Amino acid sequence: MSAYSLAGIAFVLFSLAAAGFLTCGSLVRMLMFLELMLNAANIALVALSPGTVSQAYALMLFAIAAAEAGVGLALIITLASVFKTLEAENIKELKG
Amino acid sequence: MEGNYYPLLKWILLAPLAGFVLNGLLGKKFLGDRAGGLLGALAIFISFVFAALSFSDLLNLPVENRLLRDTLYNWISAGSFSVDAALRFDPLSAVMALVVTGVSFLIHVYSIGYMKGDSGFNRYFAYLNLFVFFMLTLVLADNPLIMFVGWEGVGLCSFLLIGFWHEDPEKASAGKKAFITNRVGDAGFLLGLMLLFALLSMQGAVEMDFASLEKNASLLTSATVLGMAAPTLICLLLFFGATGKSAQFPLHVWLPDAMAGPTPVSALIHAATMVTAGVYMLARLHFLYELAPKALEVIMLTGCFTAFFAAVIAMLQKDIKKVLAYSTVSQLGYMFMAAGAGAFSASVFHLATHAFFKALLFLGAGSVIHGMSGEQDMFKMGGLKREMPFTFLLMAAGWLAIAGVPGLSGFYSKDLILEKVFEHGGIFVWGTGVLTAALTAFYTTRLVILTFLRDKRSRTHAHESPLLMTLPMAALGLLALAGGFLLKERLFIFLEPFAAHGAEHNPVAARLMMISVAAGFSGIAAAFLLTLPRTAAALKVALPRIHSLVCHKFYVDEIYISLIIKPLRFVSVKIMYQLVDAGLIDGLLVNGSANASYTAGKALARAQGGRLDIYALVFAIGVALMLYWII
Repeated sequence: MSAYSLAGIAFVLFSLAAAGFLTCGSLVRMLMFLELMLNAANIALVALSPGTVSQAYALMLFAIAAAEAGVGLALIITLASVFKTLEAENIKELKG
Repeated sequence: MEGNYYPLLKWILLAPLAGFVLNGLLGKKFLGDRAGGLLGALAIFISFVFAALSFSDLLNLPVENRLLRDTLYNWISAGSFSVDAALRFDPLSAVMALVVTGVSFLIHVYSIGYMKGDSGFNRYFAYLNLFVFFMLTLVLADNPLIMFVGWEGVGLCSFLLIGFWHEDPEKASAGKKAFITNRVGDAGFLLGLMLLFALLSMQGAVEMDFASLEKNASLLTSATVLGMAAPTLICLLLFFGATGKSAQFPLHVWLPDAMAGPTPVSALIHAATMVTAGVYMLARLHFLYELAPKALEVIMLTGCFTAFFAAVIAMLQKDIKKVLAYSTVSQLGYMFMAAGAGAFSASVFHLATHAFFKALLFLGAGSVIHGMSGEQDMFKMGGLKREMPFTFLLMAAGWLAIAGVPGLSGFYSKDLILEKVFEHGGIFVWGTGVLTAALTAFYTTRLVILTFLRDKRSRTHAHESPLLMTLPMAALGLLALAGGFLLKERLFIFLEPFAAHGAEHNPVAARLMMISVAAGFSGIAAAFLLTLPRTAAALKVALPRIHSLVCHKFYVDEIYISLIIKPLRFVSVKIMYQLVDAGLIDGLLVNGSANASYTAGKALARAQGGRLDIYALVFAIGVALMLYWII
């Protein structure tokens, strides 16, 4: 598989994930789409730049993604207990 | 110059200032009535002692060098313009300082009795001391700017003391009227000063003390401003300031209303001292006025008119203090008449004698008001001779002095003025002056008759005033009786040592004197005749028009109200308040800017709705746009 087709996969995955992120209403799903976007970025990193530096970045991204998932899930649980919902459009306190 | 540093001068000023500070800050809480009154009087007495010491030192100097100065510090220094806070003690300021401190001291003592039990006792003495401080600043100033400080300060104190009983809105507004009318005059004074300084410094003469001004005054003669000779214009502007302070027509309206203040205040400020500041200013700047004969003519005519006009009004006043107020305006007119005739020393002479007898008359009136428990209407008095014998005797002394009975103080000064006016002003001005003398005798006699003689018209039992009030009156009474005789030669030798005296008396002087004395006596006789109830009523019926015209003070106040106050109020309310202030400033600028930021906030708040999905969308669009821009 050439680097270009890998980059294409990454692009398609990112686009689909972004579209999903923007359209879905549930916070948990949004978080999952976020993870997908990070993974798409990971694929792009490894595909487009052979060598150890980009692989190191990819490994670092895993860690970041994991940390992000942890923090995100914790926030979501708190929000769920406060607002009794996970729909993003129902969670708002500002007046604007 | 000889005596450039004379340390006693500042103590003349500092004593009343200290009295003001102590009484004003500590008075009510720590001093109380007795100590506060004593302190106030003592401060003035100290000032008087220092003035007398300086006076004796001045007398010891050689005649051509009689000047003591003390430069306290450099007050203003801007470029080449520099003004020192400096004091000057020369014969003119010596006479003024002695009169001011002397009369003030007597009136302070009198006030202790008069104001006894008033809730604002300490405040009263604080104001009174502050007034004396400013008056002495005015008198002792070595340059016109320091003089202006005193000039404004006495105006302020006059305002504070006229409105002393400020709970009464009428009295408070009388204070405002005095202050505002004075401001009108002050504007003229200030313009005159600025013009004087500007013109002189253009010619390179930047020193502003009186000695240098006198030396440099001749530089002004060639200058013209607005097609007018510069000295004439400056003198007229300064004189306009004097008409405000000294209550000359057309700015005389405040003085009768100023009688709302406590009577000792009327005696001190509105008869003896402050109102004479205008006369003093003319005498102080005589070198300038001598360059402007036209201005002198205006001054003489204004003084002549005011003297006559106010005397006519005084004839029909009912309020004992108003009679004296118009009388003061009229006597000040005499002083200006004299100054306008170039006889500045004669005007200062009349200033001094007037300070004695008018302060005496006012204190007597205060004693009567005190004895009658606040009654001021003369038609409710009468027959007080028996109940208040001391006051009657002393009032009679003041009455005879102002009426011009030969040998008493008013006779000498008034006669001298009339003689000078005859020399310089001609028969018409002199005739008006003599007529005014007759009117003066008339209204003062009427006052004494209505108050003390004939039958008692009210049932209130009057009581004689305490010694604390009658003793100062007795001292003033002595001065009013003998002051003219004692001062007449000495004062002139002191003020004008180089002019020839005595010998140059006008040959017709004796005849002029006879006429004015006859006028005075006829005025007294007329008063005895015309105040009989029957003749008075008959006159009122016979001349109704003139009676109401005079009773309404020639409608000057009404003219001011319709010509100046009403348009001013219209402009203030309709345009300045409703349009500019409420509409433009409050509506457009203050509330407008608040409204603008409120609506802007409301519009921008929509962007921050708290909706995560919308944030995400906007963020994505933003990223897309950035990418598009980069690639």
